[in-house]
Amino acid sequence: MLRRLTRLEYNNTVRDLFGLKYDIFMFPERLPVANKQYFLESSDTNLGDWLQTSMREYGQRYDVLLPLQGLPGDNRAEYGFANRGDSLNFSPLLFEKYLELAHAIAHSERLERDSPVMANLLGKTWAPPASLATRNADDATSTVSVALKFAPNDNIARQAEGNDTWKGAFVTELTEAFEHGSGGTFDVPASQNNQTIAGKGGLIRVAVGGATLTINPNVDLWLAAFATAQETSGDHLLTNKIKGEKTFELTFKVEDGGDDAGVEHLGVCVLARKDQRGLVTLTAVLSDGNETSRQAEIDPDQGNVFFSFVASPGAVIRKLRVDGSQFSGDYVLLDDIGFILSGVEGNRELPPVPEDKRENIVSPEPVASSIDPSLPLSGRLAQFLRLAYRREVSEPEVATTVALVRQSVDAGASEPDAVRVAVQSVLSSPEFLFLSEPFDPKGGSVRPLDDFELASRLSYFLWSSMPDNELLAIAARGELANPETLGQQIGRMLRDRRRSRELSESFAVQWLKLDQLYSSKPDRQLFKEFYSGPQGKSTLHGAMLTEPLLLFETVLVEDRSVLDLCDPEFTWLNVQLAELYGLRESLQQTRTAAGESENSAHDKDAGRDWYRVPLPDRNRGGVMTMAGPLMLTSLPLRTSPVKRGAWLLETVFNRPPAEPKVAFVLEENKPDGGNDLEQMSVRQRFEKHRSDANCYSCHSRIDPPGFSLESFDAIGKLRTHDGTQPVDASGVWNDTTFSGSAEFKAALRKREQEFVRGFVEHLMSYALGRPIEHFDMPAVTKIVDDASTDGYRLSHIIEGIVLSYPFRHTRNVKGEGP
Amino acid sequence: MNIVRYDRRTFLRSAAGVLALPWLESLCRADGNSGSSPRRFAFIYTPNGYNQQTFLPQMTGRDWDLPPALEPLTNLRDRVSLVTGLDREFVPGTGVHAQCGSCWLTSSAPQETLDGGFPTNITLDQHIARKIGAETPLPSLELSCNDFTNSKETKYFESISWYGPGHAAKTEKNPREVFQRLFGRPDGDVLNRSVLDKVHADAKRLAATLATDDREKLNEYLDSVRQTERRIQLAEQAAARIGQPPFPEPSGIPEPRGEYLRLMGELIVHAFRLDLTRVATLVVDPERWDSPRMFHGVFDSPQNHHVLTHTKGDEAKAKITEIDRFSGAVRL
Repeated sequence: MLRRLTRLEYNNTVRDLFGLKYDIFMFPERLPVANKQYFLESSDTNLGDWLQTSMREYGQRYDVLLPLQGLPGDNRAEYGFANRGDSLNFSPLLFEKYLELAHAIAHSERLERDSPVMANLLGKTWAPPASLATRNADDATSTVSVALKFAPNDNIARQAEGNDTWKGAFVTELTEAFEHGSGGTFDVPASQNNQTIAGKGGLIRVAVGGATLTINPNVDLWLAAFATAQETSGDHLLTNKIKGEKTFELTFKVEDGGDDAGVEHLGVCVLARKDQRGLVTLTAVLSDGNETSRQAEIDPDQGNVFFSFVASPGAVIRKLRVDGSQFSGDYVLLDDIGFILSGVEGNRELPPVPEDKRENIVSPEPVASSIDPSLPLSGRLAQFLRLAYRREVSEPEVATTVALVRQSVDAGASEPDAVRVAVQSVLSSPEFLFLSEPFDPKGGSVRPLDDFELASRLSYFLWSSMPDNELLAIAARGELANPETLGQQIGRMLRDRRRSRELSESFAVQWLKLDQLYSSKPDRQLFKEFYSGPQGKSTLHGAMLTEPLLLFETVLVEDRSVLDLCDPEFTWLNVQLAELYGLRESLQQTRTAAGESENSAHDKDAGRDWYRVPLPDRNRGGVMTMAGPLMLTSLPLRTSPVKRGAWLLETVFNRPPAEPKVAFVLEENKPDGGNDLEQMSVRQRFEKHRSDANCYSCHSRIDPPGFSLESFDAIGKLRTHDGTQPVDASGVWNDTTFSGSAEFKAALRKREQEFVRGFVEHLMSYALGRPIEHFDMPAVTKIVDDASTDGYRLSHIIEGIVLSYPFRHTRNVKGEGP
Repeated sequence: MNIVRYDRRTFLRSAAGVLALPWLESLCRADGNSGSSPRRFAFIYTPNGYNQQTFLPQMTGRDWDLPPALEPLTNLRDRVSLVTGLDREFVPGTGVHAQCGSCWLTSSAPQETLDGGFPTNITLDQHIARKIGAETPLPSLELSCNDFTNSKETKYFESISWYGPGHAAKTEKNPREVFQRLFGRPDGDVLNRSVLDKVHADAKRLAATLATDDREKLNEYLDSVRQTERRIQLAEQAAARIGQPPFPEPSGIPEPRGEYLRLMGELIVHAFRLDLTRVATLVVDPERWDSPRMFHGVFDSPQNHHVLTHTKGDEAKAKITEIDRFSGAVRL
């Protein structure tokens, strides 16, 4: 068995190899969870009845080692997970990416500062660096990090007359400057809402990589949100604080730059606002005394306007004068001040992320370094190789690595730089990038895993990362295969929540296909409640992703029955979901019981508060009746019983339907209403389709589970009618007629082992990194049977998988060929 | 009841190639050394089929009529051969969309399923690359404008270039990185030869311990190392020959979709012109994926191409024609 690490596993492995607290690079599989404390700090047995969490916007920047680097993603396998060895390929392009990334990691100054392993490998002792908060203590609250994106909301309609650069070109230059630490965008952070920057004395400090830009207004400025304007980024803008004080100027200064440092190129957006119009003039005042003005008629029908200024050669922009005296509104609304600095030493390190943006940092406790800095080079390298290759290493392996260092030194490199070359080679080696279980000529056609192989299987299953020092030590003593030891290790590893969160965020997300949730975009007209905030920028995606994760994590932390995943008596709700589900009353009762008053203080951020709410009936509860899965199996305009049925068969039972052999076009209503379909519900149209003999054989399986969910609309809201027709959510399952999701769940529970079996097969395939084959079936049956003795507790199933024959053995057939 | 046999639709999906004239001549000289200038091959794939009524010409021969969806080709009409009727048999057992792009250029017969249920195998572009790619820094270039960040579909939905059964070529999706790969001098620090030698030796040693199946998998790695070693040599020579890149480095993926497609097309043109490669593939968009996307300047709101192809009515058809025409804007 040989398989490449996935992007997630690579990131986690490098992170844990070096003992870092944060990710190596940004990648979309890392869910945008803004607050995971409820899970990381949960007790061993209970997640409680109230917790706080929320999702950041997808794509928002967070703190990582290499913000500008990354790897291409891995596709999921057919009916399987992204970690399946047979579907993970290698290409020249990928190899070069690994080389580049390994080079960047090995040469990162921050790595040397933050990683005990790297410091020790270089022969240095390591002390934890002072935290960023301490180092920036004097200005931590008032300094804003520069942002990469200029006006990402993509709602600039026009440019001011005479602009030096149009937005596209400006953004290109700005991006380049950002990456060199000499430019970026000041965007008003949400955390600074309603702040005032005092005129004259007040400063906005923007940390750029190589310097700090200060913006000093001559009148009081206001950082605010306006409901009737459409910000060009985020939800906040910059305007005059005093009503009607529409003429003001901003003075720019660069700290820590050279004498001639200054703003060379400036872009800014003036926002349109409902019912207000008129001429706005911006003037750039240059250091050589010249001034350049641009004007634009601001008009709500014509949208936001982009202004740009380029300083003449040798000069910089000292001030920006804003004149809104001819504008009918009381406030001149500015957003996104983008600037490119000259005279600043380029610096590719990005500015530190402020503390309040660091919530999402994935921070396992750093491992104690097992590299002894006092050893000679060969000793240090041997210890590093053992960690990186996750096994004992041979003398020749150490010797060739030492030789590589010597070779670089001979070519003129310093020893630390030569060691960095060796680190690059280790991180690009197939021994690091692949999990391998070599052929043993002495073994039979199936052989037991050795202890190190077992340690890796275990850690990549439960943590999506490498084995830690404890696992490696047990493996080195040859004790890991002992079932009792394995049982203890499973318990310990699951309680290491900083790593075992991947069971939820990687396994559960892929199992339930929640990675597709953000691609669902319900129709804005039909499903207005899905969108909120200015321009409908806030959506329910985050809440819909949180609910199933919380259920899975409850089952994990509280070691509940996996049947609770499909049919529990409670669900986790925040106010938005309670509203969508029509369960406000249940939520309120829970809050009252928890001793909160109706008008409890944290209503503003109420979306962050999640309550475990007992369900009044069985319609809701469980992954298949949650809004997330119901929406990701729908189309923008309507439900799709076929998609829902196929999702259920694949996810819940692991018996996906065969792919259709014929193309089918579902007849939609004609806009003019000129056909008889108008009066038909989606279900009736499917019945028509199913009556065709070609279609019947598959759809007799797919449709019933799909129909059971017809009482939920395309965003998962309960409904009684589909268009003008009453919903028909009836069918037959397990020889039981049902109507609606509650009765369907009851019918499913009649053969609940079908669900448990499906779940075990999914989890086992994920654990093995390969599809489940017929020869695995006895093991699956045994796991299900054993777990039935105590109600299918999740830990029992996980332990059953780890102790199973397929998990502890590997195929050992030499095969034909050279 | 509306059933369309898949083989019919699959043909439409598969007929996505536009070959430069004179078509037969270019095929005849595929050995690449008979003419004065090298022969080049580009394969551009658009997904989810076409609206046949507005895509297929009525007439054959020199005077073929330009259908509405092919209007972007107006100025090139005389230099284009349109080949239709290249049918391919659908093999039951796997999804229909999964057998479109992934099988378009395959050298396996439909019933030959060396890759699970899929007839993927070394593709035409890779066959050509093996034949004529040895002289250029990159034997072939694989590009894609699939910028969806979720990986909701399998590789069969987005890969048209395959090295062998089940072994898809990774595509480059960011124009900036394509640019750096084409025109950046290989960074001696990053692509350090001693590092390459070291991992090459590691891979050989590891391969010797593996069973045959696993060794074949590891060969993907070994081939990658060899190709990279080769590329470094040839790219250094090419960089000395070319000097300055032909245009400034793009900053990333342009937001307007049309600009993105055109930029990727331009990169192929420059790679050909400067003889950095002679074979290229470009995936304009992946199959299905079922995510709405913006077609800037065509529609006001994001559109789901796949869903449109399963929607009845003239409105959906008209939209597909617009998308077909839009995709035609990537021309080399």
